Amino acid sequence: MATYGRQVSNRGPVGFNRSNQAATSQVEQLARQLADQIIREREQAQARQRLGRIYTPFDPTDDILPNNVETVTRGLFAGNTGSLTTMFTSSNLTATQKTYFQDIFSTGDPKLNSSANPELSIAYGHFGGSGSIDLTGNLNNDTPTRAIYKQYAQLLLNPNDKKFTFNGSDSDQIYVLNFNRARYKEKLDPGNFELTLSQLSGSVATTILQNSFHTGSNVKLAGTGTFVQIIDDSSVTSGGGVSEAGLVYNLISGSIDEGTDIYLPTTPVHYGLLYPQHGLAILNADSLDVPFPSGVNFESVTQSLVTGDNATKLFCALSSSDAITPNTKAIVPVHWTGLICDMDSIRDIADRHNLSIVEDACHAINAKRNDKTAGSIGDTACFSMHPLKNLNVWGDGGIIVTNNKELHDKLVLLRNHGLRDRDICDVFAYNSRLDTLQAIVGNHYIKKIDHITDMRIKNAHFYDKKLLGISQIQIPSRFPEVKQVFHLYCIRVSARDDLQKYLIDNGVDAKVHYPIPMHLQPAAKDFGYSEGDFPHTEKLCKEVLSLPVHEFITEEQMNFTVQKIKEFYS
Amino acid sequence: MKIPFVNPGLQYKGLREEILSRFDRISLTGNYVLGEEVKEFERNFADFCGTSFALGVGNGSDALSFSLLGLGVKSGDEVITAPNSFVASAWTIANIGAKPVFVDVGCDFNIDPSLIQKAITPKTKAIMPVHLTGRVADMEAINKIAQENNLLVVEDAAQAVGASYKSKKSGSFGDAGCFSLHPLKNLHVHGDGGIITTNNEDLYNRALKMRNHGLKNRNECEFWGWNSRLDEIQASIANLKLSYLNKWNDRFRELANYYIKELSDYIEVPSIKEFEKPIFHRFIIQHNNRDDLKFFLEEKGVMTAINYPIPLHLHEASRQYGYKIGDFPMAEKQAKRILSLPIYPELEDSQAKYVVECIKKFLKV
Repeated sequence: MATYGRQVSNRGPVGFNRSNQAATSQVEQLARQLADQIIREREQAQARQRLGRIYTPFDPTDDILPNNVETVTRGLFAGNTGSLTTMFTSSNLTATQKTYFQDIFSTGDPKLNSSANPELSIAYGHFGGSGSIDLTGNLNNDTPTRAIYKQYAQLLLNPNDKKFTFNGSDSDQIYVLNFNRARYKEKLDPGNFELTLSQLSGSVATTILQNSFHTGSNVKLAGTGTFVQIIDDSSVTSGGGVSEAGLVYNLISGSIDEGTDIYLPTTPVHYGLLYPQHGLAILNADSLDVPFPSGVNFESVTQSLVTGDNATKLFCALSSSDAITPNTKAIVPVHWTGLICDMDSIRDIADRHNLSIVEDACHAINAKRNDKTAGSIGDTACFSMHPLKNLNVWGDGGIIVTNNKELHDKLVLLRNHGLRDRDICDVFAYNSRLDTLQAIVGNHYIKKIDHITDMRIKNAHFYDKKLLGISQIQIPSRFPEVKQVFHLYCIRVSARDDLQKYLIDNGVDAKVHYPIPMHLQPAAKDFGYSEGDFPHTEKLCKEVLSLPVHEFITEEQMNFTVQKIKEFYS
Repeated sequence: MKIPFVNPGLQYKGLREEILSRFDRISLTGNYVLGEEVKEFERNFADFCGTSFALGVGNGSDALSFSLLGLGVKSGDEVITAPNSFVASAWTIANIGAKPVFVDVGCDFNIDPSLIQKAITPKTKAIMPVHLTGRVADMEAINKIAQENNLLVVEDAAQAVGASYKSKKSGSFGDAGCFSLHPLKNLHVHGDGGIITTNNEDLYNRALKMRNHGLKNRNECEFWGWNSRLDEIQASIANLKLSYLNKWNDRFRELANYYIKELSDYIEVPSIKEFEKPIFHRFIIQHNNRDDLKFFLEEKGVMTAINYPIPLHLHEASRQYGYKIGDFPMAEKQAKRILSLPIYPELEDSQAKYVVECIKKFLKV
């Protein structure tokens, strides 16, 4: 590599003819005077600076606070948040820029919202230049995707290495997530990185912020789920390590639960590499795209001649990663065991995507979160009054609550054949009515529901205390802002099936809610889910056990249950 | 004299002690859902109808929906039925995405078999005759057409529990029979309830899961199903009442025969053929000045009803199918002329006599 610097004479300023000695001495004298003046001024300026500065000696007794440890946690994204769930592309990007990358913003399109925060860029690179046309409209080697591939290869790979290698095999195509340089240095922490990508259906126009994007071909994900979660392997395997470009880890399928537990499928799929020191995630596009059939050239598979299309595809996969697709109509949060979901967050998501919320509050009569009851945030909340529920009737029954008068009127029609009055039918509809007899039972018990709830909470807390410290038992987190009403008292236990059998043999009616998650039921086979899609749920299904917690159980009975559990583990 | 149109309370009065003791017995066990009472009622009811299986469900509408779906009727299919039934009949077809294709009725208020063939298209999957008023449709003719065209037959027997036709009970003619146990029915429970009869074991097994979330057992879900079960308490009441049903149905017939004998010379009454034994869930007379007659009887304290004033094809809910006035002249004509008289086992002879007297007074005979 050549560098071209200025040639400087060590005998004096450049450009003067030294043959005229007299003139030269005059000139030299002037030059020296000038030089002396400059040096003097510089020294004076430095002295002035020194004068303005205050030095204080370091005092160990005052300046060190003993035993004060603070954890500094700062999010990767703007506003100090650690996760990015809403994303916007920029309308400010020119068409040419978009052939190279898409900028991703967190709080809106920067054209409409000048305070929108840039978070990362997405780019697509191809070793041979496929996936884009050159800027003159021709398809040849001189294309943006080729430039991108080579740039990142140059930045991250060994000098003789031309291609990115993922889990042992080379890949011609990559997606790059390039995180905002101002932030990533401290916060793109290995072992703390989780990425969710959804599968996109082929050639659909996805409407994002009033812009229609042609999403091209499938962003096909390994496994049959509709989305996949990806983590780096720094904390879970021996994979990764130090490369020429610093730290590098594999990106594999898995998930991080509540920021602590790592869940991995039995055979994790490799999706790419994470370079935390560069703020770069390089995804192997081969693992995300449809495998191209033999004889078909790559361009025809990726449908990638649309400008910037491939980067946009990945953006769609990222931005719809919370499982929301253009077909999504509603969210049905389940207040499992009587623990109300984080409804404020769910409402926030629903509002952003214009979705309805139907709360499955079958377990949650009388439950609260931040003093709001089930049904106060959703469009409706639905309660079961099956005989096993906290508020029950003596057969089957259910009830819907809503603040929406129009919906209420519609539901009144729907439960009774769609009849406006005795003779006129507005819509052919269901017959599903709460029997008068059962309503009488419900009316009786609703007066006692506070007592029933209090007893169940008291019993649950009793168990919590008694079970604490048994190492094989994990008591779920309790939240001060939540009034959990314990339709079920569920704990996580080791050797669950044996423990359940032991308890039943000893007369304790321990149950499992539920051993098979819904996505693995035969009924769900048409949706194409498979084992490993929801690792946390699947793990819970193997560990959960419900103990009797109803309002009639005595402390003696609960003590007996706890004693039998301890016996089992001893 | 005040004569209510229906009066289920009277029936309870006679059975009060027995029902309360059953209620008490079940409540003490706490087993309110799908217990022994439901099983026992299903056995008894299958025996009563002369079918291999019976299956208790949440209501008569779901009985029909489950039968159609369980037999393989699906979205896009067509199902032939009568236009003069209760709206639930059409819903059960519309509910599964199929199209209700109406065929006009005869003088007996039941589907006219001679008109069915014309309504059959390549999409037709089933015929759903409605045994309206408690009178079995012409099942011999209907089954013949179904056989020739390879169609399923699902009997809407909601109003016809115990009715017979050529010595066979309703619910035993088709691939499935569907009954309502709604409080206004001849055999009723104290809330909503329904039951399916069938000789088809596959249908039985499928409907068994359909009514209970599609669950194969406590934990395994074969398909996403419904929750539509006959309550244990209601099944127990039904068991008790089933033992009285023949007696009650006899009384229905006795009252109907009285009405026919007294009124047939002056007003249009049902004409019963010798091979049929209706149960007269509704006793319907017809008159051109029906509304005046209804008003006149009400003034006299005799409460009547119209079952039903608007044929199914003319409801707002039917608009999507494109039917119009005049499509089913018989059903439309009847809708303007029919009037249901009070009829229930507890109706006393003197009350029936009073009803007759009032009608004669109106007719000035």
